[in-house]
Amino acid sequence: MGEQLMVLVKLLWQYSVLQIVIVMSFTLMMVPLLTWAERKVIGHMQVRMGPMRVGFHGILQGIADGIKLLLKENIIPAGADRPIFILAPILSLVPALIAFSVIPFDSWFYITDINIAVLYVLAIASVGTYGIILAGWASNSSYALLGALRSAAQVISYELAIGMALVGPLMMAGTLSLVGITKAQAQGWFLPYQIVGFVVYYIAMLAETNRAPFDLPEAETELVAGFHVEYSGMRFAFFFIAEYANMMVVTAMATVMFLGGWNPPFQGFEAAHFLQKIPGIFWFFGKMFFLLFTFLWVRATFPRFRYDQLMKLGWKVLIPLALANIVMTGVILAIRG
Amino acid sequence: MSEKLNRFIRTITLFELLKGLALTGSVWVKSIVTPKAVLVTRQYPEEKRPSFPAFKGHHGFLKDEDGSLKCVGCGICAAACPANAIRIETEEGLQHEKVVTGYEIDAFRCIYCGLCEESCPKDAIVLTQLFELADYENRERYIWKMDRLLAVGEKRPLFRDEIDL
Repeated sequence: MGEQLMVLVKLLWQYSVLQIVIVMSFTLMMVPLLTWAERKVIGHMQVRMGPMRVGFHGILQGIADGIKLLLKENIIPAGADRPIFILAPILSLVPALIAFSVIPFDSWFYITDINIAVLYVLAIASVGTYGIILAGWASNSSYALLGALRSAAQVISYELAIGMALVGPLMMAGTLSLVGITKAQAQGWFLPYQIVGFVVYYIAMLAETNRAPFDLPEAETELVAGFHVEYSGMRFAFFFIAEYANMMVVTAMATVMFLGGWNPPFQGFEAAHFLQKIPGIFWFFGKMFFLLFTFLWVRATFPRFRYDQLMKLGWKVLIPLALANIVMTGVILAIRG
Repeated sequence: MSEKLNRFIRTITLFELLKGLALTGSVWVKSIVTPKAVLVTRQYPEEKRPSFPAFKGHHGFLKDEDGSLKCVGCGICAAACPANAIRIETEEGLQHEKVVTGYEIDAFRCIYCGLCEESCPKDAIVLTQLFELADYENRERYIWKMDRLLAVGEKRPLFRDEIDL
């Protein structure tokens, strides 16, 4: 019986079923924890306590909110385009979750390793935007439509910057496979060489996930809640989960592309070799959680951009910087052979 | 020129942004190390702050040193009350004096202005510092009768859990 179970587990592992289950459940478990962490961190930065009631220091707050949303009524507005209204949250959530399929958490733990992984993540991320745009359109509400249009313009502008910021590490690694890129960083992270690319990517990923200070699509003070005003219950929760899953995807991408993925820091130094003994998965999640923390940190610190400032930053600053970074990387790589 | 250069360097190094992050970050670190000293939130039901001495809360009815009611049933408080929240019942006693048999404050009507306390010639009614007036049960509990007012007046509680109303 035990042997049969082992064979079954090995088979499931071989066909990636086990990895899929682990990664999906981990992602969905992280969402309530992340919402709790967000409220807690921002509360502390604003000299408040944040959630304190549900569980130890409110740690179960996210789960309580999730249960509340599950039990609430799903309202569809009378003027809404029903099929699209129902489709939009699904279209928003699914891409956010399937992007995890190519993220290498450790040298032995990833769902799949495809040779166009970076392109795949970028493509999937753009599909996720359709969810937002369709939600805004189908709601038949002016606030939702405004939020969706802002989102469309913002994501188009910043996806360029994201794509071009990622070209630097790609040139250094010489591969589009995320596993390959991580392995190329075994002798040192790309961060010191790609510091400009990292800064551009970081700013663009805040905009890409619609996080403060680029949260114009759901600006509470201007658009009520933006594209998801008309959504309630589980459909709203889908958008919520998608937003946080997207945050995890972009931070995981930043970890792989710039911060060496599962590789420990200071690989070049003899004295730091003991760091190799710590499993890579801890390094990966350590970096990813630090980046997620900076998301919350930035949100607690900076006010929202004005629309024209957002466009100016994207087109006049980030894209030229990313282009210059590509040229510089190319020149240096050519000189060093 | 140096002013422009200074500005340029500050922009390119994201100096001002990092300064802002340092402020929120230092508050966060302090709030983790010494939460009591930094976080200003009070966890209300566990951690209560008494109201100020001049606070006008739940009414209290006072007694003399000899244990008799201070109230003589003159009705000035009821006349002064702008919300018409006070109702007094009086009867004629054995020595043809006025005896207060019933005194009611309608907490739904009362606006806690304190005019009853100011107008009382015998200083028989006061507004105490008790501020937790909510009740879960029926609405009759908001019509405060003589026994409740006397209990509050005698004990002068700061919080609801000090007295059984």
